[in-house]
Amino acid sequence: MWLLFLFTAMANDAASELELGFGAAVRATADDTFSDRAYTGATPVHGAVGLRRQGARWRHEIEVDLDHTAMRTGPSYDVRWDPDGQWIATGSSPFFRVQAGWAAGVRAVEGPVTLDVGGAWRNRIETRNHDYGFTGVFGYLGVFGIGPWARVAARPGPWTLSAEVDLIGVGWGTRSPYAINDDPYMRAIEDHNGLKTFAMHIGHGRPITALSTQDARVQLRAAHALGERWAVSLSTDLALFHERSPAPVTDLTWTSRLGLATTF
Amino acid sequence: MRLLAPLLLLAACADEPTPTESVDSLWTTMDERYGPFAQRGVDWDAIGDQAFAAVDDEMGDDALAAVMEAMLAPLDDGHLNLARPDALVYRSNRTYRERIDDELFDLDVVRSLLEGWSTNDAGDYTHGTLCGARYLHLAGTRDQAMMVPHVLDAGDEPLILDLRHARGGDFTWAFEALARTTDVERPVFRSRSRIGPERDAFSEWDTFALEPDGDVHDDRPIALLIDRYTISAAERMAMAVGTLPQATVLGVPTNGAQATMATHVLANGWVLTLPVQEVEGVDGEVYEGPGYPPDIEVQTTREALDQGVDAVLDAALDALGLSCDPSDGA
Repeated sequence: MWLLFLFTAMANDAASELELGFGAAVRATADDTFSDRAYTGATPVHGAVGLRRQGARWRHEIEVDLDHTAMRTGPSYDVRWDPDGQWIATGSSPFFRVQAGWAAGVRAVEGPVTLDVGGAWRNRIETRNHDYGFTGVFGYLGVFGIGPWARVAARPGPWTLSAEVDLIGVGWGTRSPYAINDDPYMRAIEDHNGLKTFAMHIGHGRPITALSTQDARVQLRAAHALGERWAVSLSTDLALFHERSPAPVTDLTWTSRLGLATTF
Repeated sequence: MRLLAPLLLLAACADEPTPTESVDSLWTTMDERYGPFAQRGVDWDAIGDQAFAAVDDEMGDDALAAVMEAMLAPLDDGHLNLARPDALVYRSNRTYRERIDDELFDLDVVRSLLEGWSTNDAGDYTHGTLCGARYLHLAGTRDQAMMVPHVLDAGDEPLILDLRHARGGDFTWAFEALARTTDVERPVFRSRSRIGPERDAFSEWDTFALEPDGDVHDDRPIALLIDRYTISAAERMAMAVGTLPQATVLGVPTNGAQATMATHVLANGWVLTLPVQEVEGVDGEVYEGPGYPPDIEVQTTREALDQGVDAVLDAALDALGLSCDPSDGA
C-alpha cells in the first residue's frame, strides 16, 4: 500500500494533502453477546490523521482514526458485593476503537462535480471492556476487509465539498465469542503475552462477506482553502456494523472533527 | 437513514421493560447461555413456569428481585450472581449467601502462627515460614499466583499452599506458576463452552494440562489447603495441584464453581454473572456443584481458632512429616 502510495506520489501531476483532525464521537452498540440493552456513549476523545494524493485521473487516501468512549446501558447505580463491603458504582464500560483505511480509485466523472470510484481496504480493531464495578469482562471486535469505494466532490470557490462511501465486501472478522470467556479465549491469554493474545484473538475469527456482515461507512467533508497550502475542514463519518451470528450485534459510530490540512 | 434513525432512537430512549419482560430476559439469558444445567441437575423449564406464574406487572423492584432470586437459588452456583441498584448482590450459592463456615478460616490467626510473614499493599498473598515449611496463602488467582515460583526459589522447605478463601481470577496464571512442579504433562480438566442458544449447543471438549517448565523440576512435598470458599480459578488451581504425586490436598471440598464466568446485562439493567461452560476432571468426575474434594478431610473450629489453633494447618504439617507446635513458632 505504502509502496503504491509512494509510487503515485512521484507523479508530477499530483498533489498530496496531510490532515490532522480532532473532534468527538457518539456511539451506540446493541450486542446480544453482552447485554439485552444497548450501550451508548459520547466522547470528546476522537482524532484522525489523513494522507491523500490526488492525480488527474486517480486518487489515493490513507486515514487512521481512533476514539475512546465510556459506554453505558443506562444510569450507573451502586451495588454491594460483600455484606460488610463498600458500595461500588457499576460505572461505565470503556470502548477503544482504532480504524485504518486505504482507498484508491480512478476518475469516473470529470467536471464541476467529480466522481472517483475504486476500492477500499479497511481495518478496525476495538477493545470493549465491559465494566460493572463489582465485576467485568473483556470484549473485542476486529474487521479487516475490502470492498467498493466512491467519492463525489465539488469545488465551489475556496470550498471543497465531498462525500465518500465504502463498504466491506469480503474480509476477516473477529469478535468476542458467544460464551465470551470460552476455551479459545483462555488459550489466547494463557501465555500472558499481549501480542500473542492479540494475534490469537484475530486468528479466532472467520471469513466474512457482505451477506454475513454489513460494514459500511459514509463520510461528509467540507474544506475551506486558506491560501495555497493550507485548509481547514469539518468532516463527519457515520459507520454501521451489523452481524447476526453467533449473536446479533449492531454498532453505530458517528464521529465529527475539525481538521487542519496542508498541501505539498 | 431509515435504518439508522430507529437504531439511534432505540439506543437513546428504550422503554423500561415490565417485570414480566425482565423475568423473561433472565430466563432467556440463562436458557441460551448458562453452561452447567445438566451438571447441576436443575429443570430450568420448571423454574421458568414457576417464575412466570409468580410475576405480575404491578410489582415493584423488591418483589421482582424476589422472583428472580427464587429462579437462581436452586442452582446454588458460586458464579451465578444478580446485581440490582442499591442492593447487596444476590448470590445463588448458599455458602456465599449465608456465609456458611466463613469464620473457619482466619488469616490473622495464620499470620500469628508464622515465623515472620510478608504481603503486598493489596493483601494478595501471605508468605512466611512455619515449623520448617514454606507457607503461601493466595487471596486470588491472578498474577499473584506467580508468588509460587518466587516462594519455591526462597528455600528448599516443603510448601504449604493455602487456597482457603481464595477467590477466582484467571487459572492460566496458576498453570504457569505451577509449571516447575511437574516433569511430565499432566492433564487436569476438560471444558466445553456454550456456542449457541440451543441448550445442548456446546463446543468440543478442550483438555487443559499442566505443562513442565522444561529446565526446572521441583518435586518437593506440597500440602494444599482448600475450603468451601476456594472458588473458580482457585478450584482449577487446586485440581492442577491435585494431579501432582508430591501433593496432598487437605481441608473440605471447594465451592464447586469451576466454569469460566461471563456477564450479561438484563433488559431492566440488572447485571447477571453466569458460568458458560461445563467442566469436568480428566477422570470424568464432575466437581461443578459438589466441589473438588481433599485427600484428607479436615476442618477446624472457631473455638480452636480463638485459641490460636488452626487444625487444618496442623494436619498439613503432619502430612508433610513436620512436627512442631505452630503456636510455639510465632
